Amino acid sequence: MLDVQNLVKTFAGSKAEGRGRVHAVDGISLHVDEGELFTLLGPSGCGKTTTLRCIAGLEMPDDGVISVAGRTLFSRADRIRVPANERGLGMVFQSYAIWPHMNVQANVAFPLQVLPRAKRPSRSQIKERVERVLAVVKLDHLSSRQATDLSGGQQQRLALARALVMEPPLLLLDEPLSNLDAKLRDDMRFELKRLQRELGITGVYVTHDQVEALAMSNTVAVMRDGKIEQVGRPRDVYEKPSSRFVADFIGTSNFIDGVVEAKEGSSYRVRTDDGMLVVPSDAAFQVGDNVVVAARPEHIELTTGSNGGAPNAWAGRVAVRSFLGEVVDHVVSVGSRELRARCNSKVSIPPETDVTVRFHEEAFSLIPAGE
Amino acid sequence: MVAVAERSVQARGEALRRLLSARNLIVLLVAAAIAYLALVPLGFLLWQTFVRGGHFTVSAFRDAYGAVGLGTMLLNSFVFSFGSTIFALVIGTALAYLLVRTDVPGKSLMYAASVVPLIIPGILHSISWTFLLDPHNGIANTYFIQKLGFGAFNVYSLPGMIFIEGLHLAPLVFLLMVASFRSMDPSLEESAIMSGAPMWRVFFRVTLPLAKPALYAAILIMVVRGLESFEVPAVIGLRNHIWVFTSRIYDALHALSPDYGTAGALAMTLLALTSLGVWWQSRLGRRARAFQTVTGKGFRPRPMPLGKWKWPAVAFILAYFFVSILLPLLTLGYASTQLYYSPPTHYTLTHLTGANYPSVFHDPLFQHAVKNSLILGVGTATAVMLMCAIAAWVVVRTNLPGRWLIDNLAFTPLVIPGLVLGVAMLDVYLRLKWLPIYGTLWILFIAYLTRYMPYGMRYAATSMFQIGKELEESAMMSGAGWFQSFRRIVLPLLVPGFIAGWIYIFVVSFRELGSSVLLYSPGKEVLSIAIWQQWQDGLLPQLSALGVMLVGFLVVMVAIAYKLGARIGVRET
Repeated sequence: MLDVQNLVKTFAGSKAEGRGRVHAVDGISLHVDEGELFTLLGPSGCGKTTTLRCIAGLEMPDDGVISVAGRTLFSRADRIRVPANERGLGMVFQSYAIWPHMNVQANVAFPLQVLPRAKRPSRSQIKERVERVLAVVKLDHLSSRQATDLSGGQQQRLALARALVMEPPLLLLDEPLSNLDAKLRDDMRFELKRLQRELGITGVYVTHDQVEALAMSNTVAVMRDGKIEQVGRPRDVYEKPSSRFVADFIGTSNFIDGVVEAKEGSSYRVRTDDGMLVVPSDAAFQVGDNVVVAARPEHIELTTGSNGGAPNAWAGRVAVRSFLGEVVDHVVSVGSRELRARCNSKVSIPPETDVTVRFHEEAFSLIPAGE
Repeated sequence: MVAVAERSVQARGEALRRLLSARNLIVLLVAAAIAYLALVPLGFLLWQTFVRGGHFTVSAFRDAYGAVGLGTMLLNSFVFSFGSTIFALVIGTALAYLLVRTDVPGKSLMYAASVVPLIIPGILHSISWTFLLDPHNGIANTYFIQKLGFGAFNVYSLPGMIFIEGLHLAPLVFLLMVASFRSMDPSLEESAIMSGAPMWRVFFRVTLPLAKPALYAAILIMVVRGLESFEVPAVIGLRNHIWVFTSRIYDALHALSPDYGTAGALAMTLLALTSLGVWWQSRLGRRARAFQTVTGKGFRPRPMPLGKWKWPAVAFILAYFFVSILLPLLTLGYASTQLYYSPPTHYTLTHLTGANYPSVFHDPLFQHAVKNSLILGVGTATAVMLMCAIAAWVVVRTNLPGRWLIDNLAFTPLVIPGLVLGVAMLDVYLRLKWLPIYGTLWILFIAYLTRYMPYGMRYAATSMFQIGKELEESAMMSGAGWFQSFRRIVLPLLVPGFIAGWIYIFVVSFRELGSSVLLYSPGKEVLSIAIWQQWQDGLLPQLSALGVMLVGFLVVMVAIAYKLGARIGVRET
């Protein structure tokens, strides 16, 4: 469906950066299947929005090939550069970009009205299609309302309707939920996901919010400094981060440096400063490799009383406890380090209590050191 | 291989087609027009002043400064502009502080007073003060100053000039400082108060230092304005030969044999001075932005209770309002009801006449002037705003190489005083025989276009910045081409700023005197020229009647602008 090969986009650097070119997107390749929602996830400045804008045609890449449904939209080698307004893609902007001088209906009708005369539907067809798409996003009762009178969530749905009215082969979404308040964002997330799955929309979704990325996508690509760090299904990326950056960016992790001491079946014995860990991993490590063990705090169990010393069960002492409603976070001192453990709200251990820190196997992922 | 080559040929044809698209042609046309307007007069002025018979020379400067008595004129110019700046700064800043930061009553009066420069053209303002402060029969002298036992104040002096110019500039300072006080984060002051500092200490240690960039900017703007001012030096200064740059330039061109060399040399010097001022101010502006202590956000600071200072403050505001608006307008109104001007006495006040008004209408000069002013006002405002809308789009939205050049060129005329522009335009169009617009309205049109281009650009660019980039991008994503998205998205959203800028340019074009006075020709007078001629002919009652009607018309226009402003946000400066 969408194919991006070796996409490069540079910007002129500022004076401080020595007037060189800054690689905002540094050789990205990706593939999105029909009906799939593909998410570009990363911190600000990682190049995710620039990638999306290159696909949209709003930025001109320096190199690479972009094609949608077999049609080449950009190719440096073949000197193909289809302008944004001829690509026929739908896009939802971060600010929604609702035109304030038009009402709801006029906003949605615009993409159909500006089609070349030969392809333009008749007036009644336009009206019908506008009504249909407004019904899909549940705005049909507001069609003659001035666009600026809509609430944030309604504007969001209007932007979606406008992007969908052309029935584009590909929908681009640039942090569409980031301007909504937390509660509404949760609702819209499900709403958007339902619509995407029901209508079979192929989409590229840009966000810096890992929760959004995990909840919505079929595939997540974590980006860093203009490159894709890891691509995979949300669960795989979460449970098997391939680098420290990914483990840190998605969810929270405790990072424990160590050295591989032995391979035991499908697990590795890792020696750390504070004790032994037995970590299951598919990756190939050699004995003596420096590694980082990333341990998810929600799979660390605390029990009062200290009988630590065994692998994956360390002795520690609670330093800080904070009640977060659904869960209780504990910071536990173990030897020289502090570990974070996220317990269900029934477990609440006061500070200065000796505890046993038990790592469940699913807490772990094993990452090569030095990244 | 063949297929690839074919495709690349096709791509090249495509690229050429894009290059010659409507968008690029329009952009190119606008850029060329702006460059022409900004550069040609300056180029000719330079050429004319420095090149004689194909050689570089500074003889024009030698002639100019040899004949004039450089010292006195320079001194007068600086005393005049700095004096009026200080006067305006004190009044304007005090009013602004009272308005934004205190609970003083009568704030609407201050706003009303702030539009004075818009509705009372400088020439009318200056003339009305000659009625008031003439050493022999000035109304204020006879009925107020001399009654208090002082000697008559002679307005035809440097202090008189400073007083009148300062009064006219004060509203500008007021508006600049209001903006600055408004944009100051009150939490900066509040945190000083929480640290235990008393009010006065907060003012001197926090408020004033924070307002410093705005103060410096205001000083530079006012000094430049003072140097450029023509009305006051001409109306007030000429009588006792108090020469400044502008009056000297005018004099050089209106001598029996016009001396273009001297006028050019003086104009160049003046231009250098004003450019320096504007350059310095923009540098200050950049530095101030770098500090970021004063943010662009609008705040609603808690007004400070004035307590026992309330009534002195009110008296100050009332006095200002009376002196800057009521007195000049009442004087003009009174003068317009007399057959022959003389100061008000019981006799004159009981023998008022309305005869001047109909007679003004029958005056062919007036008829010309109204027609020409309207044509020029509408034409200039429309042309400037259309041109600047496109230029602003290029500057704000595109990343075309050289777009900063368009921006800078469009703002260049800001440093050109009206009179200097007049000198330069004379130069251009007396030489360019193939463009015979001297003696037509076109030369005035081009002069006005040049002068108001920066204002149009400011209005257009500000509104363009307010239109989110994504609004246009989403039109592109919806399949709209450049022309469609400009016409259906950008222009409609630009309308408020467009109208505001249009009215502003329309209004200020009516008071333009500096370049008109050099460029008009018989039959092509505008209203400000009509007043200027009647002043020179001593037709004071007729002039006053004309002035009263002009002020009335401008009040209506400004009121419309403000009425729309409630919806569209007319900016005052």
